[in-house]
Order: sequence, then C-alpha cells, then structure tokens
Amino acid sequence: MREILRSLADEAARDPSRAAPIARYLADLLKQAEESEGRTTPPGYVYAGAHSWSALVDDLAIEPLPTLAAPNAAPIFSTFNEPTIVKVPFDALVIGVSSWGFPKTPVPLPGNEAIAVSLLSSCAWEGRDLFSVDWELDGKTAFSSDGRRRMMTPACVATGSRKRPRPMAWTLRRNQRIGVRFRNIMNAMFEGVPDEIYEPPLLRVGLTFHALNLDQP
Amino acid sequence: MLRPTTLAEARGLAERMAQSPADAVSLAGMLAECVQNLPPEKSELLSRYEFERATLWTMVASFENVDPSNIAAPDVNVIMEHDSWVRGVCGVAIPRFDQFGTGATIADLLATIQVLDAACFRYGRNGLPFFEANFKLDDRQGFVSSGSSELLTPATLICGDGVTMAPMDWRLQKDQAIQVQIRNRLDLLSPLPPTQDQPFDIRTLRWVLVCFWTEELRQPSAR
Repeated sequence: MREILRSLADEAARDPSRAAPIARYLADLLKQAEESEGRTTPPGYVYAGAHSWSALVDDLAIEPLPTLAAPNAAPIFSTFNEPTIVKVPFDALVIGVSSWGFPKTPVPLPGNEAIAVSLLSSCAWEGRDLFSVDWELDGKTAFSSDGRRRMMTPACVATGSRKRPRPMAWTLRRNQRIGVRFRNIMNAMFEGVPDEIYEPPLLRVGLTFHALNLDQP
Repeated sequence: MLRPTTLAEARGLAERMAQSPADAVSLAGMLAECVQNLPPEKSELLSRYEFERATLWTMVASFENVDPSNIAAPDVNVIMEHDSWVRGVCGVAIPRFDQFGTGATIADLLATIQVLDAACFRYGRNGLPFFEANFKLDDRQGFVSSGSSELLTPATLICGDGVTMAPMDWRLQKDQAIQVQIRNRLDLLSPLPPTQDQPFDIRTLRWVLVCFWTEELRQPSAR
C-alpha cells in the first residue's frame, strides 16, 4: 500500500497537470489506509505463531537409572532413546516451545489407587516434570548444557505450557530437522518403592514448537 | 527533512489539492514528501526486537541425591559456553520416595503422595518449596541476600516454574561461571525420623535443577 501511495504522489509531483485528479484518488486511498490500520489485524500478526510443529511419543517407557549393579545405564540427564524428528516445512521463526505429559494407566491394572498415584506424581503444570527433554538441530546442535556436557532437563524448566510457551527466537530454514529427545523420569521419584507396590507407567508426551512463517503468506 | 507525517495529515493535504486544482500544482511536491515520510504499516514492524530478546539456551546446575541436612550441598558451577545474556532462572526439584516401614501397600504410597501434591499445589509448583538456593558470579558476589549477608532463600521466591521465569539481566562472557548452592528443605514436610507406622517417606531430593535461560549474544552457533 505504501509503495502505491508513494508512486502516485511522485507522479503528481512530476506532472502538475495531473496533480488534482491524482490527489483525489490519493485522498481516497489514504482514507482506506486509515480505516484499515485501525480495524484489521496487520498481516504479519495474523500469521505470527500460527504454525505448531509437534513431536509426540505415545508409549514412553522408563529407562533404568544407574546403580552399583548397573553402572552403565544412562545417567538421569541423558538417554539412549532415539530423537523424534520434526522437519521444518518452510523458512520460519520459532517463537515459543511448550510441552505436556500424561501418565497412562499402569499395566497390569492394579486398581484406582495406582492410577491416583500416577496422576498425583506431577508437581508441575501439565505433567512437565514427569519427563525430560532436549532438542538438537540437524543432529549436531544441542541447546541445553551445564557448560561442559549436553544435559537433558525436566520439561518444566526447558519448555512452557501452551498458555504461556517459553519464548524463543530461532530462525530455521526449510528442510532443517529438529530432533527432540524424551525420557520418562517417573522412576526417579519412585526409586525407593518396590515394583510390587508401584511401577511407574508409560507416558504420552508431546512437545510443540510455535512458529511464524517467514515466507510471504 | 520533513517530520514523519500521519495518514490523516497526508489525507488532509490530498483533499485540499483535490478541491483546489490551483493549489494542487504548488502542493504536489509537498504531498510527495509527506507520503514518503509516512510511518511503515504495522505489518512491517513485526515486533522482531521482542523476539530477539527471547532465549534459546538452557544452562543447567544439576544436583542429584541431595540428602536432608542443615548445610548446603556443594556448589555447582554453570560455565558460560558463549558470551551470553542471562534472561531468567527456573528451578525444579524431584523428591524421592523411600520405603521405611514393612507391610507397605499402594494405599500408603497414595497417602504420602497426596501430602506432596497438596504442598506443591498450594505452596509452589515444580517442587520449589522443597529447596533453598543462592547464586553467585565468579565466586565473588552473591545476588541473593538479606541486604547485609548472603542467604539461602526458598526457591519459590527466586526461581520461576518454567511457565514464567524469574527475570534476570546478566551479561556474561564466555567461560564465566555462575555458582549455584542449594539446600534440601524436605524437613518442612517430614520433620521426624521415619517409623514403622510410616511405611513411605520423602527425605531425599533425587534431582534438583536450577536452569538459567540465556540468549547467545552473537549468532547462535553449533557445537
């Protein structure tokens, strides 16, 4: 719109004989612009955060924690699980990340008490402390660390909720691949509880990047 | 240079020119300048400045198996891998259930976890009420204090829960270190030694993390 206004105004300045009719047309256009600026959502905002790319895992099982008997198990801040891949469909600005986890019914079904224990195990909004996450870009970049080594963290400190995603600013190119790793860490809380009494269940987990399309919509 | 004009001012000028062809000739140059100086459309602004302040890195101080004690756990250093801007801090503590009594059942476990759930629901998410924390920079300056001396403070007061972070604004250079100190305060829930009547108890913090959300001051780089 601004380009049209500028070229018309320049045309009027170049050819004064046409200045009056062009000015009439310009006045109409400026009036339309005034009305639309106040009334409509600007196009950029319409598309901001409209895209959600999710990594979902349906049956995320616990991994054993290292013990004296099994010292080679993955430390609590790591995992042997393969990353879930999210392929970037267009040039995009990732503006936020949120996640969610839900304990599935313990199997074999030991009754409502075990289900209640599972549901009460989370101390964070939306079950985000039941699993840990980290993500990498094209298999080589990790963004979670203590300064010496890559570290997975509970999702409740690495991601936000859908209502308030963790803000990010991550410009990605089409066809890049984000690898999201998940680990069910419910066994950390129940490490001292015998399996006969309670065995941590599978989790359904999801992590979503909220993105803005950088291509012209 | 003409000051930035408004749409209303430009429209006023154009209408005056349209009504008076004699003025149109003399005002055409002014209208061109006026339109050149219109502010950009809102859609061109796209608050990028705000996004650029957002964080990507999570720098972590991790503590495992923190026992109940009157003294703090040993400091953990978080070393900056890049020149960084620390924008906020979040925390989480995962307590560990232990069996003390004999003949324990799932009902006993449920009763104990209900206490934990009530505490977190009312007094701080992410297990933040169960530990105290303090941060220092390069082993010199404490930022959590009573005003006159350093203080270990309930994490609920100084750490965010991930949905919101506790805002910070530190610009750190590569290899600078933040020292994090914590202390287990599960004694608030379990002040007495475990007994046979109390089959399950929560005394140890299995995993505590204090995480700093940081922005790399230069272009984010691969490791």
